[in-house]
Amino acid sequence: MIRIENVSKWYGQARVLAGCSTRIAEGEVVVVCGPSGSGKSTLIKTINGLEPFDEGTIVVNGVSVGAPGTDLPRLRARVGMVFQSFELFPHLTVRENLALAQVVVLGRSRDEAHARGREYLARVGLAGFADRLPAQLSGGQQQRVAIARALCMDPVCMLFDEPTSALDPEMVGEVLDVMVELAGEGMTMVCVTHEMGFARKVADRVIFMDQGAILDDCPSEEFFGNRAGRPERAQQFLARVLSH
Amino acid sequence: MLDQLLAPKYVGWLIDGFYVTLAVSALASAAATVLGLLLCLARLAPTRWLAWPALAWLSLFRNTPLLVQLFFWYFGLAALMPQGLLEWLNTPHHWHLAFFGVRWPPFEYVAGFTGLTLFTAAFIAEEFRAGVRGVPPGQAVAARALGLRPWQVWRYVVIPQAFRIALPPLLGQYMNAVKNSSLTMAIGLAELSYASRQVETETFKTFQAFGIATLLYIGTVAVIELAGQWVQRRRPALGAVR
Repeated sequence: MIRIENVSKWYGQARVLAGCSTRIAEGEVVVVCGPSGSGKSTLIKTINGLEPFDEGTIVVNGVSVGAPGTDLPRLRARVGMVFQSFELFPHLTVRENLALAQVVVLGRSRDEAHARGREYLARVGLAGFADRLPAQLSGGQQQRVAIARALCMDPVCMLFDEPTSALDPEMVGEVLDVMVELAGEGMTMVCVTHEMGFARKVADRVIFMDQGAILDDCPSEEFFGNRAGRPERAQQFLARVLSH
Repeated sequence: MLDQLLAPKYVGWLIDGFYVTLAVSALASAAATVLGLLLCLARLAPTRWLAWPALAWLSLFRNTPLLVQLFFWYFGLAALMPQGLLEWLNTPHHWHLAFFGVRWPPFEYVAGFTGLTLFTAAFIAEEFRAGVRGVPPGQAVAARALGLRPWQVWRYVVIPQAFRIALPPLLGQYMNAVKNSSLTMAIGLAELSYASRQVETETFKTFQAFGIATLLYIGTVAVIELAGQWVQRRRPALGAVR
């Protein structure tokens, strides 16, 4: 589904991605973790071409992301993405947020788009909220709408970039519940997150990054079960995030 | 007391002038809004071939007095135009379209409208640019992530939000356009200021002539202000909680 090979990226002299390689199979749930500034958000954004990269190859669903002729908007329409800061469109109601890309990108009729929107809104537990504006929702509700907005596009995979980091603690659960359910339905997911409980519970694999490089890439039972077998930086990171 | 009032004939002059003021500032504001948006987009374009000419335009029109610009369009441009075109512009023309007649306005209308439009557009472009800057960059990123093409990102996500952010200063520019239109009297456009000067010259009732003009200007600006407040109240604020 997703193949990342030797991907590197520089900001001037600073190397933010250092020869990253991994593969994500269909239906797999992969958690990417690491200290801040480790390049995990940058890596996930290269998958749908939001961040260009300088070296290497990324192939998503048979499409080479970095190739010059690639129609990136078309690829992005099939790759769902959820952001730390939700990024709902504040001038549109929830219903319109869900319908916009369906209508202008996929060419669906308004009725079809609204029907699809209603369906996914119910799936994230916000059935009665179609006419609200984003500003009238809590952070957790906004993020669930953002997930529904991505799902309306029938994505082949979903990218989550720290989806719970901007939320108050009591709202983290409602968003993670939606993600757990999605994983259970067999959605291919790549999640940058510090929620190690989520990683342990639903991830098939955990990737640990530091200073732009993938230092560890293993099944999650191995990652959490065999602490001694982890690279030193990963052990330090785990000790810090799991201590409280 | 009665002899203090203006004769109906002179009030009529003022009303006629007021209509011209309204027409010129409304038309110039509408045209300047479209032109200002295009200028703003050009100014923000990634290629210098668009951005630099737009920047030059903005500097030129923002940093010179409107009065000088009006003189340029009225006298300067006329001097540059071929004689035939100038004569055509200065003679009245009528066309009869299906149901209504179209009258080509005298040259001072064309020059006044052009000058006021180009001047106002430069300011409106900067208000739009501030509005675009006020839209968080993550909004465009999220729109791109949904598969929107660059023009769709602008059309559906950035411009609607930028417009709402820019609305209060934009209304301020429309008020300025009404007030600035008074400068077109210098090129002989018979708008409100010109008319009040005429009335004053004929009647020597200085206070009444300019007093009525002042009230009409204040009234117009107040209407724009109220319209703005009404629009703002009807639409909830953006991103109160983010």
